[in-house]
Amino acid sequence: MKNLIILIITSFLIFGVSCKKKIEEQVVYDNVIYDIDNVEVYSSNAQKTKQKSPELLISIMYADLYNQGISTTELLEVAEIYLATGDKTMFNELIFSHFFKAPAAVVPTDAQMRADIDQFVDDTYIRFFQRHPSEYEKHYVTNLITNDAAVTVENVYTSFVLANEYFFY
Amino acid sequence: MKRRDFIKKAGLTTAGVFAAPYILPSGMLFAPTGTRLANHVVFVLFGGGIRNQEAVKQMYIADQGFGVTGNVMNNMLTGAAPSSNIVYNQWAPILGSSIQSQGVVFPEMRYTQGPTGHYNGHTVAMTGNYTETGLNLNINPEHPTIFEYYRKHNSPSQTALNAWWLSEGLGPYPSLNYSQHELYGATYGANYMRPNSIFGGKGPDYLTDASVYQPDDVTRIENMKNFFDVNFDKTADDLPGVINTRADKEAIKDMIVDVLNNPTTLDYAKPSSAGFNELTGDLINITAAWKVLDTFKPELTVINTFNLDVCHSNFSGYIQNLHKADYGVGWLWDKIQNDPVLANDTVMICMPEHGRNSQPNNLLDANGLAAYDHTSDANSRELFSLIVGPPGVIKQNQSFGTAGSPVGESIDIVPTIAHILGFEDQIPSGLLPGRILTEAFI
Repeated sequence: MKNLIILIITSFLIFGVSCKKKIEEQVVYDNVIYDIDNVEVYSSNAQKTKQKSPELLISIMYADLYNQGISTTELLEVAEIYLATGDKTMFNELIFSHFFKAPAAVVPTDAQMRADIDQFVDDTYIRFFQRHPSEYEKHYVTNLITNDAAVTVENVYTSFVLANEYFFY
Repeated sequence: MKRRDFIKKAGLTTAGVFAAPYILPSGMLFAPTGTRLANHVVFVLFGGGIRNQEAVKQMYIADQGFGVTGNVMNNMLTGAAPSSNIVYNQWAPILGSSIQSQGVVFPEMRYTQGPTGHYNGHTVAMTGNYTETGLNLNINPEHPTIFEYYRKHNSPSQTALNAWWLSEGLGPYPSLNYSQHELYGATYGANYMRPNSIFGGKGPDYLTDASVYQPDDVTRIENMKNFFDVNFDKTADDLPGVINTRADKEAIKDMIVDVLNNPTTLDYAKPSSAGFNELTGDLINITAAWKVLDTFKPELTVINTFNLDVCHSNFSGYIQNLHKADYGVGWLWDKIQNDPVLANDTVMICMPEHGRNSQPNNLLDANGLAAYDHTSDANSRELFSLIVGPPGVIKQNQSFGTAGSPVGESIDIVPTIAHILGFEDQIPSGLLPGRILTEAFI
């Protein structure tokens, strides 16, 4: 199994670099956030048609918080806990909150969120949904945060991760 | 109002008229299903493959030609322990009188069809249907499980918090909490947990600091999630697994996180004199089962034990693990009988998933004892079952069936549980070929 995963990753790196085929959905969102280079994001959530497998969901969740891929060992460990839990949505909440609290997680503080809520909402849509919010979405989420001083970054991030859209690519 | 909205609302209204429950004179929305004999059932799939020789026949190592007999299951069965040639660490029984004496034993049940594999045996016991399907990893069974019958055919209907499946191991066993059946499935499934992965192994590394949301946080998260979902036209309903209500989910998370943060407060299924290093996977599973029972008082709980499958290569280890699993079952029954809600309102059923062969394989353990496989010979189709419960419901200290006249089959447990919980008449005909083990009831 481990060898298979290494093979898949190696294949991806090899073919990902050498092949010129454009894959619109494979976006590195932090490149967008940090202006590393210009990459495409989804122009609309209607472009998301495929549901993520459990392993893919865990891997993406990890990457969305740590800006790096999950190790094979860690993925296997988390996958065992996934199997050991009957309510998979509950598992997602549990494991996400663990990822979120880890020191290595690249997440803003609540104060940073409130210092520029507009930017936070933009960044969060890119981070988790890999698209920009519509004007209406931005207005709604910004208002929710602005009008409730108790809303935390963890609340917002958790909402995104539990949303149906997050399960699709 | 837009036409689409109108149609949608009109449709909902119409559906509501047809779906509106009939309000009974008593004020209840639905008539309750049939009379219950008890409000809680615990089914212990006393698994791993147990030969009747070492269980109800109490032959210990006599079948190996050593001439020493005795009862290694001192909590579940009545009988004196072996007094010589002891190959296992003996724990004093926790129960003053055996489970057998507090209920009914079926010493000669049969598993009549299909291969005697562990997954097959579990599937048969939990669906009430024989299956030829072998190791079909991580694929839910074809026939509905007892959980689905329970949740679908109870009125008022029950949430998944009332139905639990806890397994000692992973492999295909997580998939036994609901079936692929088109009329049932995950909607009626049970909560599932493998405690050895959640509370042991790497579980604590990942879950100890997990969040349990306060009601205000839940509201915030749900509001935002609902907004996102309204703006997305697909539903992640292909996710495998049972889905709890939000309140139930938080309650389960709270239990898990609480155990992980306060492991010393757990009651462990072992004698106080025994070290934690003597806990087997079976005993950890039973420990967690009690935590679930104690916390949620579920109406239907199924757990298994499995460690004595070492019998493939280590007969002495098999005896040891059989003895420990027996202690665990006795410990669990003792806990139930000392709980203000569960005591005298719980029926516990114990049955192995299958037996083991009559002839050993060619492996000898350190004590020179031969090992046994389970390859569907007649001996591996011999089972026993114990049914214990309130004296007003379950007959006490009685036995039904002999080798010459067996009583009961593996497929009979599901209808028997349905009978205890009062919904057997609601199950569509043709789904369950087994019968209620009526001999057990007053």
